[in-house]
Amino acid sequence: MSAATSPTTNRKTSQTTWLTSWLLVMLAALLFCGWQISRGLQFDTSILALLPAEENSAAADFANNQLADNASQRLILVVSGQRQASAANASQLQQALQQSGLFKQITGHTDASQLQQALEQLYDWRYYHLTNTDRQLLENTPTNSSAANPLVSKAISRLYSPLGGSLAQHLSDDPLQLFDHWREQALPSHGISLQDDWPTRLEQTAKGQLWHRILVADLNGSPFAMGYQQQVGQLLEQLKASVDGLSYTGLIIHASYGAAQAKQEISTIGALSLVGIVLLILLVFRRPSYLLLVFLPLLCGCLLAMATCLLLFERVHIITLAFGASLVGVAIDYSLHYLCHRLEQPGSADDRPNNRHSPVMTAITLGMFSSVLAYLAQAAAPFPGLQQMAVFSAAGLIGAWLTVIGLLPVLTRRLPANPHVAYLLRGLDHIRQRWPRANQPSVAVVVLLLAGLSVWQLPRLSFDDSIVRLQTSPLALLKADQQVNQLAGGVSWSRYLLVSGNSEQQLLQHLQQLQPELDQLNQHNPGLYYQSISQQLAPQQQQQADYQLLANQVYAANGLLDQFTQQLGAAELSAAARADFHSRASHSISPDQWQQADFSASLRHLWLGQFENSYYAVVNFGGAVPTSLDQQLQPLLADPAMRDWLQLIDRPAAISQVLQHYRHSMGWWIALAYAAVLALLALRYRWRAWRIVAGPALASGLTLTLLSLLGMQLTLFNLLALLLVLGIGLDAGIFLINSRNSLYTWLAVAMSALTTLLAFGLLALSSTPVLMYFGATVLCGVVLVWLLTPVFTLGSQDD
Amino acid sequence: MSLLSRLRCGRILLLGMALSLPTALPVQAQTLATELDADQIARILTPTDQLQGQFQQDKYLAVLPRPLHSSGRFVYQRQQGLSWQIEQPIASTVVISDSGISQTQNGQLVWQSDANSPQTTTVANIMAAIFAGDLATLQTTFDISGAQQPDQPWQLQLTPKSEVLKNFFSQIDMTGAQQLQGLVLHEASGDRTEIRFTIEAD
Repeated sequence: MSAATSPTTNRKTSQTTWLTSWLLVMLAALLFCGWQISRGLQFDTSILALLPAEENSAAADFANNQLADNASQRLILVVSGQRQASAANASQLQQALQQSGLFKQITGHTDASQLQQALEQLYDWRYYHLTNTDRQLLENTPTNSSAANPLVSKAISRLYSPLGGSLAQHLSDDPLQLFDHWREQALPSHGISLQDDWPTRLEQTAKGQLWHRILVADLNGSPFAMGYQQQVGQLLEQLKASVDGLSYTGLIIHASYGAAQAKQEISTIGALSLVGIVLLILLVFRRPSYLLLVFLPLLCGCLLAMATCLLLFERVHIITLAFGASLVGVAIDYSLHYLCHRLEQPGSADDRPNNRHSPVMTAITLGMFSSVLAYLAQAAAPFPGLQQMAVFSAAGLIGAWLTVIGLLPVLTRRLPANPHVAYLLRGLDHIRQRWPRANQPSVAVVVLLLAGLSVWQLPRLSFDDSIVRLQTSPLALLKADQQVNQLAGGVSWSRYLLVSGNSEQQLLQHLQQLQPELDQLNQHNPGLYYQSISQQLAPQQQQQADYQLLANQVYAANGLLDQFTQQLGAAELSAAARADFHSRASHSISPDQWQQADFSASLRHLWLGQFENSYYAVVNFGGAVPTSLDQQLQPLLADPAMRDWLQLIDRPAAISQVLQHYRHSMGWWIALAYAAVLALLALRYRWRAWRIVAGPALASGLTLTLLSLLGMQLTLFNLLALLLVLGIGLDAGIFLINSRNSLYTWLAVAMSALTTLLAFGLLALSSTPVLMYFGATVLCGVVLVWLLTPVFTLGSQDD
Repeated sequence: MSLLSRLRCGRILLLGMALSLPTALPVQAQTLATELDADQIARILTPTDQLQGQFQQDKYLAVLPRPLHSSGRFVYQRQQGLSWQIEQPIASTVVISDSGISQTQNGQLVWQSDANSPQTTTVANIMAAIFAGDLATLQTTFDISGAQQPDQPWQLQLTPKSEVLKNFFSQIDMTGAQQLQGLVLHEASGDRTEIRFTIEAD
């Protein structure tokens, strides 16, 4: 198995073999990682990539990626105040933003002529687009009927209004004012209009009118890039102080808050943790070189883990890496146990008779096997995230183990005796003698009671998988967000409808088919609005049909046009109107033309284009989006006429679902891991194996009980931490039983527990929820495992 | 409405800008005998909370050879705003108030614009001020000059101060004796609307 257990004949050769294998494996891993990095390493960061393949629609992924820019690359700014002041401040703001050079583009001050140009383009296609209402009115008009038509009488009424002015100028090219109706649909204002050349929302307050000027800045860097983030943050801080009534929102604000928080925590929690571990190792081993000896196996383990993951998986997920690396933390046990053992047997490793080494190497190997087995059990779960994590941590443990077996004996060949340890051991001995053991009846009763409590509590644990609970931004930031979004008429990028079609035209037909349903939804939810390409662009077929409908009903002889001009007493207008209409035959608009038109600016991003064999577009919602929107959309999603090409993408819900799936299966796989490990250990320890598994099992049960009694809603991240507790507990149990509870093993177990607590337990102080949940569980679980394992292992000799 | 849609969407600039009408402005065309000073103008209009009567309206549109003639009743009340009830040739009602402008026909909405749009608010305020004889409000938005011949109705010319408002009205003419008798709304396009009132006692 290891060098230590091989027959005595040629130990040196055996050690050289292990060293050579270590060297070769690590070199290969290093080269492979280097090659991968040079090819451009790409990590998955979308949490949705962690969903099982069949649940994660590739199309949804495609859509999310396409839309990511809209969601993350934008900063929305609002300057509020009196009319003059707000306009002046907005100008000052736009100038400062432009001068900073930090933004790709700033949309704010708008010349009315730009809007006019967009409208002129829109006007060009007026004969090919009708609103649903106008279309129905025209379809229901009997041809050549002389009865008063509502379209005609409404159009005339408006001309007679004292304020009817500008419509009169379009008597010959939009006589029935149908374009005016379509314009309201194609370019809705949502309460925002161009005032003093600024997109503005007016608010009536108790103190009079408030003018909100709206600007949108497109980032020219990644919102997650530290340097860029900082520059934007500083600029905004300055502007906030100098521009009255400024508020803003954007992913970058949250990202920069998160980064600042993480930075602060790294400098406090991180420093505390590092200093603690270094002090602990120096205190026990008294030599700085031991730091290297302790951590080298961990580093090598992570290297091998990384290489294995890159080899086996196309893309490695960043979350997998983070949690995988923390699970590899268990491997610190191997170096600690080996080094403590060497303290017990100082001098040159080579001088020692071979059998002296065998117990610790056997225990390290057994510990490695059981932990790898426990972690690899997760790989069987149908979740890409768990599989990657399992592979990463298993490979990491193997790498660390190989380093301890292959390299550490060489590095510790000449190890001086360490007299300081004697004091520590004397103290530990004192404790060991008084430690409760499960063999004592009173202790057994307490243990059984605690076990009973954990089991009783298990079905009563309350879990919360909602992504909202993992929200890191403070409430004030979220509130400002909501306010700015409301003022700026922001749409939601986290929840939208994804519509598909086999061709561009079929996609447009589907959008068209959806529109009446969406209109109905609007009617039921005051304040809600939707954005769909169908508001500006109809399928070719529909455009032709609309033109034909106008030709038949309006522009034909004795059609509505003639009725209209006769009622106005200006029959001679008909000829000009007819000429204009016929001059625009075959003037329909294609998706390409639409995308290039100025007026499509507000909806263009909804067109996602081709992916695999289909074309996709998005319909999104803004304004007062009701919480029940998902439910209200259900009938549409279930409609046999639509369900094949319509899906709802609800990212928060999807992420919560990922978390819930993972949490569910994690629970079962942890139980399975315990069973597998118990079976493996039983091969060697027979029925004493329960003594090893009992510690981490009881510690985990009690940890969950304790956390939930403290009122914590449990999440996936609590369960992830339990894997670490299992790994630490298994090692402690195996080493203690193997060494017959030797004091050096007690020392190693204590150091293992303390380093784990310092490395991960301190995360309980974090204000990032994910880390806090993980840390609190490690803190509680590792302390308990440390206290409980000896209770079961002491007295194992009596079995 | 189109007055509003024009500004909001710049549609006024789309077409028909090059038109210029021969200016036959009956109210303005009188010889201006006596220029009125600010004090006199201030005394001309009697502020009122309520005004109602008949109207005759002629709309001169560049593209039509004949004016569009309509008639009906109007009721102005400070609280409710102005209700413009067109009876001929097609019945419909335009309501201009603090909450916006809307037009209905046979009880059905033809068109509306709510008070969120500042253009709507501006137009509503101007109309209210004209009918209420609220000179102070009018003076904040218009330069006002006036003239009166002895024993003849007075005439006022209202010229918008702001460029924005000039997109609506290039000029408004008012004429009256004790009370408002006539109103001419000149639009930037050259179109104009002439209205004659017959005021009824309450």
